[in-house]
Amino acid sequence: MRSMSGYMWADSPLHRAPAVAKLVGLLFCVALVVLASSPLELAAVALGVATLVAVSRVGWRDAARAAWALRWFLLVVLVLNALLFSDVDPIFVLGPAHLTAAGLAQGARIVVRTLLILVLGTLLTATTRPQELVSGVRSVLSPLARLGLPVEVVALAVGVTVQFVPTLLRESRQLMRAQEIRCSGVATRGIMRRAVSYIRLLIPMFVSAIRRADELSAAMEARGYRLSTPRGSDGRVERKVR
Amino acid sequence: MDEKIVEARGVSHAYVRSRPTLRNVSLDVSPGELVAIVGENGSGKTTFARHLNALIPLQEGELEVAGLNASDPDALWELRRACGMVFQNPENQFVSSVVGEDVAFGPRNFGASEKDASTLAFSALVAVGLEGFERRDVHALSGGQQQRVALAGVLASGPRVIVLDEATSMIDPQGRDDLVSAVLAARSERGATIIWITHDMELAARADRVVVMRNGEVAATGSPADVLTDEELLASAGLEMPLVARAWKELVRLGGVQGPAPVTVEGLVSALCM
Amino acid sequence: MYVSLEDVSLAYEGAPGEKVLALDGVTLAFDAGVTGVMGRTGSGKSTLLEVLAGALRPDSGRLLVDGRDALHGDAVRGFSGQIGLVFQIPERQFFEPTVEREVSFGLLARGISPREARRRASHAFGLLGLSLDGLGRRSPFALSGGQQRRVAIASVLAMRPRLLLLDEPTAGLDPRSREACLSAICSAADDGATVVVASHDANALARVAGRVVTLEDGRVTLDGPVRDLLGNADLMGAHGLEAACAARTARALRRSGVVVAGSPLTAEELAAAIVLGRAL
Repeated sequence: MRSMSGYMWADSPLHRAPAVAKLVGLLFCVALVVLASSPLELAAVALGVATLVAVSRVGWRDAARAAWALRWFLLVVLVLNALLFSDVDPIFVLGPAHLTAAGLAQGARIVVRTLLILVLGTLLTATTRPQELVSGVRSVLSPLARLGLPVEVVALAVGVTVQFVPTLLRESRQLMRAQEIRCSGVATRGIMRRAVSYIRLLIPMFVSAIRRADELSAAMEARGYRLSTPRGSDGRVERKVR
Repeated sequence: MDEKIVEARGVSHAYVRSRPTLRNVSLDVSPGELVAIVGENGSGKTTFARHLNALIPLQEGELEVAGLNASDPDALWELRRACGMVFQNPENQFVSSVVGEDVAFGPRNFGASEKDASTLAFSALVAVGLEGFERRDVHALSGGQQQRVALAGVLASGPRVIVLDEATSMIDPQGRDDLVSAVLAARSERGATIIWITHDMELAARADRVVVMRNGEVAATGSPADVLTDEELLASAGLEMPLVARAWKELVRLGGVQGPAPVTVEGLVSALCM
Repeated sequence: MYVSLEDVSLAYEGAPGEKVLALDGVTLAFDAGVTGVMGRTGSGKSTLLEVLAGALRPDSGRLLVDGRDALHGDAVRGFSGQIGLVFQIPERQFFEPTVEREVSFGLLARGISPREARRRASHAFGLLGLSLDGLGRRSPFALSGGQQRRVAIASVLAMRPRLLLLDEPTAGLDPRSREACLSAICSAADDGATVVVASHDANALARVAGRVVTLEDGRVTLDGPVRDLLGNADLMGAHGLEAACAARTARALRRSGVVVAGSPLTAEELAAAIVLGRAL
């Protein structure tokens, strides 16, 4: 079962693992995904990710949910790469577009990488409570505090972002339904039409995310949040970085 | 003798130079007073409210809140501590998805230790009737409960002035009533001054004083009995009288009663029984 | 348009490990005119609207439009073009650079000529007390909150839906914009549309609705003429809901010993009820 934050109640080694370990693991896996380039290497990483999904007991459908939601976007990425990546040895030419094997391979590589990273990200949020995630980020970054990195700020930013995700997801689902209704009575099944309506979704999503961020920053400021730590000149306690 | 907790003198503001959002707004509020600010969407209410805790820097005029100068950068945090704000959209004001953590955010920013912040958060949640909600997920609460969590987040810092910016407009009537009682309790128990921005004329009728805003200006200020019965004034500001006052005017037209229109149900009862 | 739900249920996954019934065996029919739907947050109002719009498929039960099954087969697409749904805070869905393009988007997508689209948009704007000539070239994002809501509703009305569904159309609006929205809803009903308005705002429903349905935990609890429900503060209160302000005032007056006749819904009716009460 899925909570509003994307966390899924279940008991698995991944759920029990400390957030710090999972964060470091995620960074490591993402590095592997980015470094893998040959089909064989990517297949090996994909197998690893599939094993993690099986171990997590999150379920295939839920693990693929974010990736599925972005399917049209990924398709556009694939098509654009296939047509525009290269013009050597084209399979066919249509105006400025050249369909090439190299382009297809490049598009497939990007899509597979994005898919794997999406699944990994979903796994992390599905097996880690938001608060554990925030304190995990804090612990992972705390050695960097000595180098002057504002750890508290980063941890807060992660926390705020994580708790905004479900709201934005809900909003995007509603927007999609609203658009479907508005364009209904028209054939909306065509791929290009889908892709266009997908892009049209991005505008209200973007506007909404900015508006929310603006309201939230006002609310945070109103409650005394500031990026610099208090000077403590008037007897206030200076906030310590944990 | 006449100490004021909010003193605004000629406050003007424009996001775009050619279209001012606030024009020469002056307003005094006494400690413990409940002031309702009413006006159309876009009449400048929110812009004025955001001046009160210096979310918007003062462009023109003078503003003092709880004895602190709003244009003094050194007084900024004291000012925000003295003047808390509850916003319209409950979803966009939480920094943590855990109720207790969110309520403790303010006190922590104002320098309280972790332990003190938790204690303050606990008592603030009790004050808004949400005892035992510390570990709950804010997103799983109803809109009305979320607004009370937001109010608790403000109360935890011990403000002297609480500004509510259309805080009831997105919640159901039950949630609205619960929030109103929690605010009134904060006023009577903590002596907080309340500045309530609203479209709800029935709510405005319960205030000590009503301020009508129109095109960025204060069109009128006075007791609910005076302001909320002035049909012409309210119409010019895109507002209408509370139902009780409208019913009274109709009664006068039908004949049988006379005298000034009441604005609350209690007022109507006593006017009819006279 | 005659729309009916037969024993419709729909569940969503709640937390942890339980299914929450958003709609639980709902049987309702809607005909021309305005029906108000009331219920507390989470009672299933929004879900009901989305099921009626065909945007959400129920887990069980039937949705009939003009007596025909609207969940299966070819009928689905035929009906969907005649349904308009105004979501909560619809202005959040703006995406065009100008108001005119925003309003005509749906019309043009349906193959209506630009001239006809402009004519219809202009008419819909008029219903909401706005002028397309005045606002058409502005960015929808730059309007005031009340104007944005009206533009959003106008863009649905311009499609001339036979079934118009609105979710909290007046929430957060000042009296002027609110009245403009309510009168536009009435005129859509006058043109023969079936209108369903979900709202917490009893006064708004008292102004537009002929019939009111209440929901509680996904079940229909009350269903009757507006005056029988919103004019009865005790009945609504027993279901945790608010009656019209005039009815609540009448109840308070009666409790203080003032005789008030009937079930008033508006200030004028309240005044008349007091005069009548005094005569009795």
